Amino acid sequence: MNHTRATTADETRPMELGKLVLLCLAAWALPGAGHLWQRQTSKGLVFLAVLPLMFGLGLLMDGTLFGLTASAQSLLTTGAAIAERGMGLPWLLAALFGAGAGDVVSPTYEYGWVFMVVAGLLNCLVILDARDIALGRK
Amino acid sequence: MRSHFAMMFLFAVMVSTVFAVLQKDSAREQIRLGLMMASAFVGFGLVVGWMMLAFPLW
Repeated sequence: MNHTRATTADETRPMELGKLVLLCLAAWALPGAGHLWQRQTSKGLVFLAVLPLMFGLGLLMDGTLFGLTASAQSLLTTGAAIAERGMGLPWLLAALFGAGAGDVVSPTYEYGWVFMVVAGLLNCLVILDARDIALGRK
Repeated sequence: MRSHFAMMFLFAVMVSTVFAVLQKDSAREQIRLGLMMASAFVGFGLVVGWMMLAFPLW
């Protein structure tokens, strides 16, 4: 498989599959890392600032970290749980430190989990963008 | 923070920022698209909010 990465307008160099996977993993773990890796500093910094902030605000608004274990949960809840995991390290830290218990009677609960789910989904788009840049498609 | 409008505004600004930075390369284009998208988010939210007055919860 021939992967190429555009660095400048007239320079392309091959990117191995292993490196591409590593780039995507880094982009998942730390929002914006995929862009920073490819020297798209301003874009990477914007993602690094906005996405964890959005996820953190969701936590502060009493949003919940949806679990994947219970078989009784609905398909939508499962989708939300997967979307939140798109956030990478911030999600992992929140889960490790027991944050995101969620307070369903809080007036901001719905806003909270929507912020968290959307932050995860946006990070998935950011990962795909970093991958496209690495493959020279953008 | 308990203001629905403030939360909607924050949401609109952050989502618009990410989309604008993803889709455009120059700072000028990013700001333009981001402002347009955030305005559309907020405007549409307000319109839908007012429309929902016609369907009260009871």
